[in-house]
Amino acid sequence: MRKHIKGTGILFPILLRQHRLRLLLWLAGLVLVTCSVAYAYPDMYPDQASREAYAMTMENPAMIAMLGIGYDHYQKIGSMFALEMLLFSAIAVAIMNILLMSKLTRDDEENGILELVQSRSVGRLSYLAASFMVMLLVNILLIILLTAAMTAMQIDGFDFSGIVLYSSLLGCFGFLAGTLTAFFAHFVTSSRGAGILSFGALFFFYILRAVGDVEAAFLSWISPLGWLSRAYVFVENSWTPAGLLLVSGIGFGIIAFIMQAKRDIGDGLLPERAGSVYASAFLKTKAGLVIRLQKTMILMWVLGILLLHIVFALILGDLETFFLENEAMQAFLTGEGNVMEQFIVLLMAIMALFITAPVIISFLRLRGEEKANRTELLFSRAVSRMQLLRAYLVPSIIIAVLLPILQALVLWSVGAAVSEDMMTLTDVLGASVVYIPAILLVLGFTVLLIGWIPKATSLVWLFLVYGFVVIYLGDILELPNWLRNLSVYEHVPVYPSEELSYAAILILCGISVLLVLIGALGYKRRDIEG
Amino acid sequence: MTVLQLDRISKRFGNFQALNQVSMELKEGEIYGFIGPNGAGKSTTIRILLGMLKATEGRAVLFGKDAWKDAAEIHKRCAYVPGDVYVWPNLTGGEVIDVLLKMNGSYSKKKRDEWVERFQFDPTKKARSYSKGNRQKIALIAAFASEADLFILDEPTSGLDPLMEHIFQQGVRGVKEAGKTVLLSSHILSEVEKLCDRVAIIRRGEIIERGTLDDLRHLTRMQIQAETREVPEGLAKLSGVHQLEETGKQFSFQADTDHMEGIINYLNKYGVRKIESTPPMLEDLFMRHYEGKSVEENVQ
Ligand SMILES: Nc1ncnc2c1ncn2[C@@H]1O[C@H](COP(=O)(O)OP(=O)(O)OP(=O)(O)O)[C@@H](O)[C@H]1O
Ligand SMILES: [Mg+2]
Repeated sequence: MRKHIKGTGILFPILLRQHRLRLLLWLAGLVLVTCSVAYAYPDMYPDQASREAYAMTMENPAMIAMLGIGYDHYQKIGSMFALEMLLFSAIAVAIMNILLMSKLTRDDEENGILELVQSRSVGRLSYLAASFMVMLLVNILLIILLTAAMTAMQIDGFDFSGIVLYSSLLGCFGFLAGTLTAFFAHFVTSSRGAGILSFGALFFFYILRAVGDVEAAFLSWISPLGWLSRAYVFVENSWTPAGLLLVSGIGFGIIAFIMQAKRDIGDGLLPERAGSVYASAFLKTKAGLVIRLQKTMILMWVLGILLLHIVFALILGDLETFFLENEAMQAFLTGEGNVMEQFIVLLMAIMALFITAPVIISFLRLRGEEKANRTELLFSRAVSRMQLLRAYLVPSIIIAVLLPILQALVLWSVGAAVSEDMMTLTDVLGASVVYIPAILLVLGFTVLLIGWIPKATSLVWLFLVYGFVVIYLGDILELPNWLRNLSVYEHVPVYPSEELSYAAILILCGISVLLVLIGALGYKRRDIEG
Repeated sequence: MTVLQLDRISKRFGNFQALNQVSMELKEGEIYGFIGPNGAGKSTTIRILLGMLKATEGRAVLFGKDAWKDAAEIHKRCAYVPGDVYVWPNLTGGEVIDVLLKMNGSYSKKKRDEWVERFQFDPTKKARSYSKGNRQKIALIAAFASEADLFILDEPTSGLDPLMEHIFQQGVRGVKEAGKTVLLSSHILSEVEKLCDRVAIIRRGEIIERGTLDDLRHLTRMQIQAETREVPEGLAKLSGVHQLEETGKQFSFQADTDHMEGIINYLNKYGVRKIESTPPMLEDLFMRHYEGKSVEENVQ
């Protein structure tokens, strides 16, 4: 064993240094958001009446599907906080770990770093061991930092043992996500593939839990995301789920190490098929090439988003029965600003963020290709900068425009099949498509970055993260208006409850076009790196 | 006719001066060698030619058009092969070749298949699994199968085996016979010697030597070893003689090629018994430049 992990001690600090800035930003962001929400919580629900109202909005199938089960009848501040924060924080922590591990495993293997390292006097498992140590360290740091920060704030209703469990749940879930990624990395031959499998698993966990929490609890027990709320953190403080997360994480970790020891460098366990000798007519066009390179990614996102809508639409049926059984609450379902409408409007706001992701990823590929030295060959042919930019812009715009329409159609048609009180198609469609200009604006900003500050293109993700914070936590944190207005998505009229403001939409579109033009100008006149 | 012209091109990366006043001119139908040590600025020059980098100063003109402004237009008549070929990992080799060819408009499928055959290339594999040499073949096939008038080759054979290198050289000769122009950057000096009509040597961003191979040979000296009946007095003072070492009637020295006639005549007066000359090695000349010395410095 010893000889297999020789050199781990040397590799660990190198890998850590490679990723420390990004990881520190993640940790800081997670701790900051969690603490500021925890800080705001006691004031949000000071008395029994406000807690009743909270229970009212949360205790219906739709909200349960979205956020998970509540417990303790929404009485303690801690349990309300956990309901709102635990699931999505865990997802954020998982994203951090997936990105980190797919980079450390497949990406470094693809770039030949692993081969170079392995050619030295270094054990077969050292690189993976060092990667695991980095991942482990990050999650332990998260637990320590979060516990320390929340304890130091001395907020009412947040006792120490609850805080430790809450932080540990996040850390353990992160650990599981990390080991799972290392596990999946063996099946594919690219970090993109490892990412797709891991994010796919995360998504699958979420769906399982959503259905499980509403319909059949055993499904939630299959999904690690479902375990989280079963810790009844801040109330019963059960450590079983944390233990489960840890054990399954260790399990996947061990398998990952065994597979690493058996596999050739560069190999994937899933077979590679022999491909075609000639390119199809479609592939030989610029747009065709761009689409071919990303079709899996785009398809995954489209399917994922549509599947999510199917699940939520089915739950709308449960929502209806829930309120029908409960006569006093029927007004909630059909009245002005009813629960269903509120839910769909909230769903569309969050989905707009989700849809922005594939739009951005698809366009950022232009920069990714440049970094991988693959635009050079294209530009050495009769391809101009503007043609390539356009070839990447078009699929992004198509996703940004078509996906909101598609998701509304899916949500409405499934919803109408299960519920008689479904909103009209126009309203659902409207609630969804009002976000198109905002999505385009973020795309415009991406073009601007690629044109003028190509090294900083990742900054565009801040738009999404910030947009999410504002939508999800804006009320809790009592963000002042000017801060909210920094999020593009806040400038979208809330349809159908608000009057549709064409001016706002036109302005957003105008700015997007302007950003694209300025960005294109920059892309045209800057050096291409490779 | 001038196909390619670089007029006092300079390029800075931040504070680093990568190219300094580089000028170059390629005539139609010639093969132009471009050599120099690692990091000298060959690839940078080529990337300026291709309009991927913008020159800080100076002008690059290809086919009478500006390399930066009319890049796409120019590239219709160009083929480029880089030293490291990076291609889309999940496309097959055959698909990549077709995509690259098609980007320049229509192409001959027959010619494409011919070159795939000649390079013994298996086009069905995913590009991620190709070796370095095989990835280079992708770019070479796409280049040779296209109807380009100018071939820009940046260390195109750094991954090829000797057999494939031979096929590459045939390809370049064929291109020249068809009256097309080639710019060949290479570290393989024998390749340059075999193929090129003219060469330019670049070091630390500056062209330090240029001319036909014969021109460059003239800059070198022959190594002469001779034996005469009588000791040739005053040989050391004769112009064109350097580094004379004598042991009685046997001696060796270096001779400037353009003073050869005078030196031989002079020696004859003392009755030459034996004379051997070693021809100048281009490789030696290159090496001297690589080491950073001019011919003169090397002599002293
Ligand atoms: N984008 C860049 N930013 C900063 N410096 C650069 C950049 N590109 C190249 N350089 C520097 O410019 C110099 C010339 O590099 P270039 O790639 O042209 O060398 P080369 O002659 O092709 O070398 P080789 O024979 O190794 O291929 C090198 O010192 C390199 O480090
Ligand atoms: Mg080079």
